[in-house]
Amino acid sequence: MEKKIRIEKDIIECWNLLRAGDRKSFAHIYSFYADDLFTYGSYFSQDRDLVKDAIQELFIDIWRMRENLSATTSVKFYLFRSLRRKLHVLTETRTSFSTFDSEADLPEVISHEEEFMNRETQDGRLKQLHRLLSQLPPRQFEAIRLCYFDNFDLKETASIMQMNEQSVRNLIQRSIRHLRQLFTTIVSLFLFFYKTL
Amino acid sequence: MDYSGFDVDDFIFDKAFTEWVRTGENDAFWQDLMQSQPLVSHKIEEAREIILAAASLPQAMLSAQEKQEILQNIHQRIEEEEVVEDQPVVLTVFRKMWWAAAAVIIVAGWLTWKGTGSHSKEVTYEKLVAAEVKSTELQESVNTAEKPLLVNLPDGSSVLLLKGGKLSFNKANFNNTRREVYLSGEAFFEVSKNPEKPFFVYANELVTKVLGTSFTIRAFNDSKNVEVVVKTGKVSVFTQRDPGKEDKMKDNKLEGLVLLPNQQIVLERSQMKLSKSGIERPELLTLPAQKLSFEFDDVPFAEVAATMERSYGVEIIFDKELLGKCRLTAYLSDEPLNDKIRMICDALSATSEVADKKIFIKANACK
Repeated sequence: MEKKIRIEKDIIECWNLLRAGDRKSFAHIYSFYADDLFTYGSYFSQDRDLVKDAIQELFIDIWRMRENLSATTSVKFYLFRSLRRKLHVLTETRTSFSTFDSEADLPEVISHEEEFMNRETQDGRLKQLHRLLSQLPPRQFEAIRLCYFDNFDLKETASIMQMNEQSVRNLIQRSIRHLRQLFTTIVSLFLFFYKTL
Repeated sequence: MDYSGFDVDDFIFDKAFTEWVRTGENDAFWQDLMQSQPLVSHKIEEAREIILAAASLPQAMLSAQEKQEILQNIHQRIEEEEVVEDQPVVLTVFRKMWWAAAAVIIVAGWLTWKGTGSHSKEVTYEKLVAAEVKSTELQESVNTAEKPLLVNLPDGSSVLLLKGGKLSFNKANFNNTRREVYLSGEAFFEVSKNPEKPFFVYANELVTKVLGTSFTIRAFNDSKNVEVVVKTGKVSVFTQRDPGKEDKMKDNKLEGLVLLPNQQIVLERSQMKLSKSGIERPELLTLPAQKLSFEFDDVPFAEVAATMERSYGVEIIFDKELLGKCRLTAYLSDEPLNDKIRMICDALSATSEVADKKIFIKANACK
């Protein structure tokens, strides 16, 4: 915990140096968050190059605007929010495919059940949960990810996703309900399958 | 806090709860709660499992090489843009210099055409050289080209002379007790360190004394003001008419007006007034000191060579097959060019040879 606080303090210091034009701090911030940003970006597009380009453009923008950047308490939050916008623009110009703003919030019915049964049934609960999470509707998955993978609070998550807090709360609630439902179905199916053997 | 009526999604949004799941904070309380309320305990387990699953989702990975490539692209684009932004051309050169130097002095001024004014009391390059150096012992370099001209001094110091610049020294006694050069125009100096033999630059009425550092001087015969800005390092400045000039020149200390990083003085030539003042173009000085050096962090030699070529206007010849991909880590700053080359060669176990504007680097293998 202490270490985490220290790192955050360092990063904020780097951010302030970057605002004053320090290229080393700038590079440090990039190195520190490149993986997180790439992981987040990859959720929106399978195209590695597109995500890499978005990160690149994001940092070039940051350098260009360094004098106008404000002090921040969360550099990561700023970066995530900006990357999302950047990806939005890039995906719009380059491809028609986009998971953004797809309001389709309905689950793709549980056609995966069979698949589940056939696939390594001995998979641990954790792996199954990972699979279920990634099969959530895009916006639900994104909200869960931002809150519990990237540890943003609801307010930050809402701001990154350009929604209000209550909507994010609803999204997460829905996803949890959905997840629990799926999981129990699978567990009982599994049990059923097991028993009939 | 009463958790008895909590469902899974209530726990998910509870700050204390998520903190416990993530960090184990307040473990006793939660263990206790689970013990005492078995119904809630199920919800807790479920909520915990979901949070932990989300927290351990697989990551998409960038390879170290991809990461490095992106950073290089970013740096490259930034530099391209900054060079374009910098107008006029002189400033472009300056910006490049800054990458090359640990210390920068800019002696600048608005041009006022006074003619050569032979009756004035002005100290000019021509007068200085005529008074101090016999023509037979004079070694002079004049740059009439657009590109900076590299001048290597006998002590190993290097000077990049900009367009229209003239630099001369006495080849008979350059390195005796002190090192003295005369400058007209603009030049970038990288002075080899030797506190025993201070290095003097005479530019118009201004004397700049250093023991070993790098800096730029810009002084034209027809400038009204002379301006000195130090980026890093330490130099002392005084005028030719300073009554204590002889003392200040004698010893190995930096006396008189000592300039530290980010300080500026202006010499008003008509009144011979030296005054410290604010920095006129602070945006040019916001680059931090470490950015002024040649810092190569695990960079292919080909790139290092290209940087040196660009910065010094020399040509570096090497076996591209053999050395091009050698990766090099070197933190160079205000050493003269030849020292930089020597240090790079040491790192590569290579040898170098200098001929005119060409530097040959030879090595048997990439070490």
